[in-house]
Amino acid sequence: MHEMAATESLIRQIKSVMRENQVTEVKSVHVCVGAFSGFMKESLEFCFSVLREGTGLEKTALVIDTEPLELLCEECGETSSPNEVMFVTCAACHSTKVKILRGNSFTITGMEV
Amino acid sequence: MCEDCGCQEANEKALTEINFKRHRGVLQGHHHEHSHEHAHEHTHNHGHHEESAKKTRTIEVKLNVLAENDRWAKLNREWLQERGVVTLNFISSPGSGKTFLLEKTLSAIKNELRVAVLVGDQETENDARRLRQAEVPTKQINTHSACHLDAQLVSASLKEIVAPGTQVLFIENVGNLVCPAAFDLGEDFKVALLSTTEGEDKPIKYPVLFHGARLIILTKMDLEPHLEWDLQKCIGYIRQVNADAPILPLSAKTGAGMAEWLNFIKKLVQEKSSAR
Repeated sequence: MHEMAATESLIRQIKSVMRENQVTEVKSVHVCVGAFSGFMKESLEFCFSVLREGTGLEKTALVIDTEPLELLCEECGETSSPNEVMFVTCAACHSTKVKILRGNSFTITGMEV
Repeated sequence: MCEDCGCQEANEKALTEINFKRHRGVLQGHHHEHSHEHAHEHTHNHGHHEESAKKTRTIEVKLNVLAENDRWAKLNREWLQERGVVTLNFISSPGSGKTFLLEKTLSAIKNELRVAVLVGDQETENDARRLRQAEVPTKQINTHSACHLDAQLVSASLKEIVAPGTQVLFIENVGNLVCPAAFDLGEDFKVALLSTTEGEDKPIKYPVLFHGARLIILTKMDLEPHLEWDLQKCIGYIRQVNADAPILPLSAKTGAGMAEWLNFIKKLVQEKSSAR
C-alpha cells in the first residue's frame, strides 16, 4: 500500500528535523492527514509501527489529526465541506466547479522532543 | 502532491538540499549527505516545559510528507518542460486496457510524432515487450513491492529514453486506482482510464484519481452491447467529482473514438510547441 512509501518518507523527515535541532529522542510526532489526501489513518498507524523498528523511533508516538475536505465554489463563492468525500461539489449550490482549499495534503505539523 | 491535480504544492523549503539513497524498508544506518545551506527556518523551538526530570519542548514543523517525491517530480517536470515533451501519466485498474490502448496509439502515431514510453509493473517485462513492437524507445520499470511509480524511479529512466526531439512521453503507471494518484511524477497531467467492464460508479468510489485527472478515457466501448452499462450514467458519476475533464469513450480494438484521441494528443503537442 502506498502508506508504506509515505511512512518511509515521514521517518526520513523526522530524522532530518532531529538532526537539524540536535535532538536524540522524539516523544511524539504530530501529522495532519487530509480527508482527500489519499492516505488512511489506520494504514499509517500500522506502517509506522512496523517501519520505526531499528530507527531509534521505537518509542515515538504518532499522533494523527485529520482535516476535512474544504471547497471554495467558483460559481456561488461559498466555502463548504461535503459530508461525503466522494461528492466534490459545493454544498450550497451543488456545482462541481470547486477549488480545494484544505483536506488534500499530508503534513508533519510538530514534534515533541 | 501534484500541482496539476489541485493538491497542495510541495513545501519548497523542505529537504531541498538533501540527497537520499533509496533503501526500501531499511532506514537505519542510512548514509546521506546534505548541504548545510538547508533551510532551517521551517522548524523552530516553541518553548520549554519542565516535566519531572526531563525537559520536553515542541518543535513546530510544517512539512509535506511527500516533499521528497515532490522534489523529484519538480526536477522531472522542469527537465521535460525544457525539452518541450508532453508527458501523460496513465492511471487505471489493472486490466482496463492501458497497454492495449498504448499499443494502438503508438502504431498510429509513431510516424507523425516522436514518442517514448515508460511502463511500470511490479514484475515482468511483459508490457514493455508488447509496446516495443512499435519500435519506439520503451522502458519497463519494475517496482517489486511498490504499488505505484514514484518520481525518483521515473527520474532515473528519463535520460535513457527521452532522446532530443521527443514530443510525447507516455507513462503507463502500475495498475491501481488508489496509490498512483497520490504520487506526482512530473507529468503534464494524469489520464484516468475506466473500462466498460468496471461498472459506472468507479469515479465516486475513487474520487482522488478521477477528480485529479485532466482527461478521462472510457475503454472497451466495443463491449457495451454485451453489458448492462450506461454511458450517460457513467458520465454523470464522473461529473460529480470532475466538472471539466474531457471524456473520451473509445475502443482500441475496433478503432471507434481513436481518431478523437489521436487528435487530442496532436493538439497537446501543438500547444506545447507554440508555448515555447
